Amino acid sequence: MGEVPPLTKLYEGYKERGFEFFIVYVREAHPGENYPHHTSPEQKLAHARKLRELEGVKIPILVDDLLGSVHRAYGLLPNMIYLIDRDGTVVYKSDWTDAAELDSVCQSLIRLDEMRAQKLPIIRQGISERLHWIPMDPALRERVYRCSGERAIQDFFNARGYLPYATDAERAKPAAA
Amino acid sequence: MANLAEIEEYNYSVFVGSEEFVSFRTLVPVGSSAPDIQATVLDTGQSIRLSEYWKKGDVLIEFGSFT
Repeated sequence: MGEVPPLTKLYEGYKERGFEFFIVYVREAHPGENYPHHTSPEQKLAHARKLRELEGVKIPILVDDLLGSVHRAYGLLPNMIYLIDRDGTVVYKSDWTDAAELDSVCQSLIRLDEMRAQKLPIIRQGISERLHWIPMDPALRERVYRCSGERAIQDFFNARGYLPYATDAERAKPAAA
Repeated sequence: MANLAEIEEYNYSVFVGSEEFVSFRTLVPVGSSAPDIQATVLDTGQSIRLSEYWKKGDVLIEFGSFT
């Protein structure tokens, strides 16, 4: 949940402009001794409250059920972002929070509203796709270890090789010694 | 109540890597309708359908957990 601060900044800017933001609280990505995997809905709610308190989260939080019904339907990654328009159509999705990119997509939705309000012709609708690169925040990783417990550290190593954003070229390379 | 084994599998205690991550790219692509599912509002404890939000405006959803 390391991307909370940049997203909070966007939330504060865009909630005034008709956007609805919320966080869906899902399974623990890196369960450890202190914040273990969920075994009851009450425990999941309690973890979500902890997140809100300790990280000072201002964005409204929705808590998924114990089976992960929302999480499964949207793709099971731990920190996905989806932007959905008023027709319920997915207009943007990302495997991780990229605040600059999100800002630009929100701006384009505002421009679209303005064009519609002014009855300007929309030239064409299209789709773009890209890889993006987000710097690793060592302080965040440190905080996750500290909060969750030592056992969580191994997760980061186990996750390698299963990430959807690994390119074909990367998959073809032998693992580094 | 959902199947206990499914609940345990979803809420892993140690992450061992999963092919399921790869489905992110093909599940709910841009241009498709967002799944309208219920979740619990932390502030009120009430159940709400996600569509209640996009009825009101453009919606940004972030998925996350404490750890």
